Amino acid sequence: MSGPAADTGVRQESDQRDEWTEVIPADRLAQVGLGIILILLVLAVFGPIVSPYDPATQDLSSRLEAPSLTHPLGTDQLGRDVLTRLLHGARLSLGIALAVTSVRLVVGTAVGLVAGYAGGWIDEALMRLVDTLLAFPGIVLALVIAGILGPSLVNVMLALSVVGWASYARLVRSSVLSVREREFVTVARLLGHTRTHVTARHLIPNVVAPVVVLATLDIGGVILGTAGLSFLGLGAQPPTPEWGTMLASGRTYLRQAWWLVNAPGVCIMFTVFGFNLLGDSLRDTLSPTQSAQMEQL
Amino acid sequence: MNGWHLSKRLLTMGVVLFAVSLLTYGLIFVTPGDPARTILTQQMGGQSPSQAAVEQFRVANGLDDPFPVQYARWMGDVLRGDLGQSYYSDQAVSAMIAQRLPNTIALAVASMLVAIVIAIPAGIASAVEPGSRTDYAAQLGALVGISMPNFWLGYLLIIVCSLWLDLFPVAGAEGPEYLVLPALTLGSGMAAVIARLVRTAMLDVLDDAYIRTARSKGLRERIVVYKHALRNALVPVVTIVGLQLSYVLNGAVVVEVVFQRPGLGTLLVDAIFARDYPVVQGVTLLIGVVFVVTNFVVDLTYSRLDPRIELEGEPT
Amino acid sequence: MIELTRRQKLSGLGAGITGLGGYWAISGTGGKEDVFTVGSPWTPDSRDPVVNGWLWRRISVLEPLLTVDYDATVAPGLATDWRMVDDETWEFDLREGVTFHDGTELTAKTVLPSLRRAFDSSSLASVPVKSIETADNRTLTMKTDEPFSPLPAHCTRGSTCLVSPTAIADDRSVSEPIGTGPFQFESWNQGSSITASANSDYHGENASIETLVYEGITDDQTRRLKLENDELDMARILPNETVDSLELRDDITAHTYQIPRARYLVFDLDSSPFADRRVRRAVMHAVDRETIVENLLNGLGSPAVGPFPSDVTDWAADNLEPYEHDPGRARDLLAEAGWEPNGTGRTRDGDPLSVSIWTYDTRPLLPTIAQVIQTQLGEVGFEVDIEVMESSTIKERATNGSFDAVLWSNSVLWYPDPDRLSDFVHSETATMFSGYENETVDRLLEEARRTTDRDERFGRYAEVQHILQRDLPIGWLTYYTNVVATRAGVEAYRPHPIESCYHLENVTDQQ
Repeated sequence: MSGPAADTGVRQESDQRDEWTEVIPADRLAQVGLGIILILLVLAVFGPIVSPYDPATQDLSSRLEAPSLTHPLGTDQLGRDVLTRLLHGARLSLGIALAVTSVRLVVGTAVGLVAGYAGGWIDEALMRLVDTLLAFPGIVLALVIAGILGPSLVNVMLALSVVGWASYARLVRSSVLSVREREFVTVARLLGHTRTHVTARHLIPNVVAPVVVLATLDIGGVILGTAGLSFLGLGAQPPTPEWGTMLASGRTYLRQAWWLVNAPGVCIMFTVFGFNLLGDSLRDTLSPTQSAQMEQL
Repeated sequence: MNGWHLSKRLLTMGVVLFAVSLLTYGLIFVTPGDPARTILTQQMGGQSPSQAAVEQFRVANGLDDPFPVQYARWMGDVLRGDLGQSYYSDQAVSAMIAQRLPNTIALAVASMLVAIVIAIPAGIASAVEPGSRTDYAAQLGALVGISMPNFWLGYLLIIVCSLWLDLFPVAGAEGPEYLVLPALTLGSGMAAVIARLVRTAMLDVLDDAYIRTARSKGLRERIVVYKHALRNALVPVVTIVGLQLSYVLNGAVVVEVVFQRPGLGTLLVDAIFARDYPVVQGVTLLIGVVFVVTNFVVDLTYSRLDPRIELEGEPT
Repeated sequence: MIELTRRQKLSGLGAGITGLGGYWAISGTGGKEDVFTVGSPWTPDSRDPVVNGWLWRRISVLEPLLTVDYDATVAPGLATDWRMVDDETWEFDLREGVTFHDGTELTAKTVLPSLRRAFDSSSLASVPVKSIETADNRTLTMKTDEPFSPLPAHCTRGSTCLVSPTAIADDRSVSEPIGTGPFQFESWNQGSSITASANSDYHGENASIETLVYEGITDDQTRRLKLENDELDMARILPNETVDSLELRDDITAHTYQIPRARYLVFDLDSSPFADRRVRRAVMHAVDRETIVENLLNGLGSPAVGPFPSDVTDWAADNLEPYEHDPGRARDLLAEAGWEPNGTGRTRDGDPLSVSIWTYDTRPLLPTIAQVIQTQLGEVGFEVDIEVMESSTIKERATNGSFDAVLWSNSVLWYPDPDRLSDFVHSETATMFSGYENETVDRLLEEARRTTDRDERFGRYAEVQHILQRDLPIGWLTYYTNVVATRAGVEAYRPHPIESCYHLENVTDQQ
């Protein structure tokens, strides 16, 4: 809503700040966010290879063991190593989040481009579809869809993809509309370039930045959404080590084995935090208009 | 805004509401499984009905009609306030909703209050000294707030506040004390979003010309901040708070499950798992309609408050 | 500036805390001396006894004609005596001096509408009652279509609970549970809780608890936390793992007791691979039930042999051959059935030996047990998927379509008669969806139903159990030990073997 003024506000105030206050530049936050994400990626890729345990192998003689040197994050109700399961879960959670976000991004961008560029009744129809999807709180609609399809991780991904592309479409469409009226596009048209050419050359680069920011912020939301639906019992089926499912099944042992609930909880939080940090910092680099468009979502 | 714009807006909302109802009904219609068999199996106490009985039931209840006919019949009932009968309980869907709605509204209002109580001071603290430690602490705190899965936060609060400190009950919905932990759980996430809006709005206003004038006139900082800036900054914030309804409803589903509160969220989750489709349809439709209408009202208020914003809300 | 900001923050925080504190002081979490709260996984969904009578019977609001004793046999209830007059006619003498909660006197005439309604309903469709009439003011006559010795046992069922004729509307619907029990209905929140108060006109000894609150709390951990936090006086059906830590506390007493309930696998006999008896047997040899009991159930429970646990009921057949844990035998059986090793799994004609086990999580531990079974079956070459769903969804899907196996738990004496086996395996009346059809079993069950002599009946039920052991439409895994915990100060609670009634009217609460 007031991105532009906010930016000037920051700058002006920064000039006046007291000497003793320490300033963390925005890009350092981005670095921290990026760092968290990179660490997670490394853990997700190499962790499962390094770990001496298998995420599904049960050892009923060492159930619910507290964290120790052999099991740094303890064992679960079936004697499985919690750390190993979390590392495999990282692959799963990041994989799901990236897949769902990509589907949302591709579908949403396509619809937004078509709507913004075609205009007329096509625009009208597509935007009413977008309005309809945005008329439901995302998780509620995803819950209904996943519930109807039946409990499975694939259905959760499907449901989250279906409900999430609408914001991209809306963002891309308004970016298109605002860019289309700008001088350089008009000039390009006047110079005789074809519509496709103009789109490719000018529209897409101007649309990419806000979409990337939205996607970065969205990944966190998708991870939370997947975890939430899994928590409600719609997601991964045992013994899949998905974080939300692990947290949900760990709550039976809330009083006996605190690590079963809190370890996946911390993992989810840090991952989402990393993506939000990065996304937030990226958002600050957007132009005032783009930033305003994001706020309207 | 003129009458033409308003009526165009109303028309669009009508179209969206129609699409919402179509989606709600259609979702169930395309569901795998045979509703006639489901209802009949339930009525027969879990025993498998014969194919003939299923067919007879289907015809008797109009379940063999084409989609538009069934939809029109359902819509007709809905418009008369009849959301149908639950498959599994002896109550009407509207009665079940009416029974649980107050609990969800109470949760929504309470968590909104919690959010505002946390967010406004945090946002101001951030804005009066941007770039300071306070600012970054508040901003990072807000990010942590949005990044925490609320079901996890809920359990942490139960352990700490109920079992260790013995302050509040664990779960249920008998009195106001049962509202505290769910409201904290839901409100803290929302606070993060609102705090950021307060910060942005405050920075915006603090930069405005007349505030600078006020400052240059030598008004004390505190008067500038509270009397002038906050009041102006709150206008967009209050409006945006209305838009947090989405967050509340998303969160209510999970939070009500964690704290076992009988509300719309638990009603929906239970109905989904039990495949009690009339209830699923009723709750989904209600949420969709409330949401569309709220957004419409917020949009209108918003454009009224700030004439710079075009009703269409899109730059052209 | 900073100072101001802090003050602003503090005052906001202060206002919040004061507000919350105010709420707390007014309502308070404790101070409900005369309210007894029991938490159970089952939510109250209906006030109609035909649908939810078992729940209203458990909390002693509604009472049936006959009750179940602590040794799981039929005992007097609202009928003090009952007898078979001829093969198809029974008489019940009604208790004197009983009034419904609305003041209506209990007579043959006033119980008739309620009883007829129950036996007409689909819940009791398998009970062949032809007519119910009044013989005199205190005597009822029930006629059956055929000789039916389990009739008294069915008269203990929740669906048959009696409500006052004033509670039955013209369209035969019941919207208020006006019964005869030691507690009377006050209010409810559909799907979550019931409040009942002591009935001072009760025909037996009056309850010492003044107000009884029943809460349906589906999550077992929440029940436990609420008990620990003194929000419940009694928490029912807790996970076995909680017993050790609960026993360490002096403010909580854990009751563990074996009940005639089993955990078992229901196989789909109409689809591959479990249509083949050898594959079903392979499962039973592959699953290590001792390990499940020792490790997962914390030693609470025991490996099952047949349907009936002999420790709890004497309807268990003698000399049933248990399926020993023997993975080698399981592999042989699979190979015999044509499932040859192929990589880590097995295939037959190119089809992999992969099965889906459906289960639900309202009963603690079922999904966890499913995972152990998954691993143990994996060791002999099965590829197993687990799907956790709502129990009603499983019922509906398994009844109406094909499946592989369902991990289920149910009472084997839901009503105290071994005719309960018909619900599991009779080809026409089974509600257990395995598709089992065996004429001998059907015939034996029907004969036993017509016979009144206990020994003759036992012989037939024993034979059925032996046939089932061989055919394995259902694989019995473990018997069930129930965990109920109460706050210290709750006295005189006696666990009931088939949980037909909590008998909270006998319980006193010292706190």
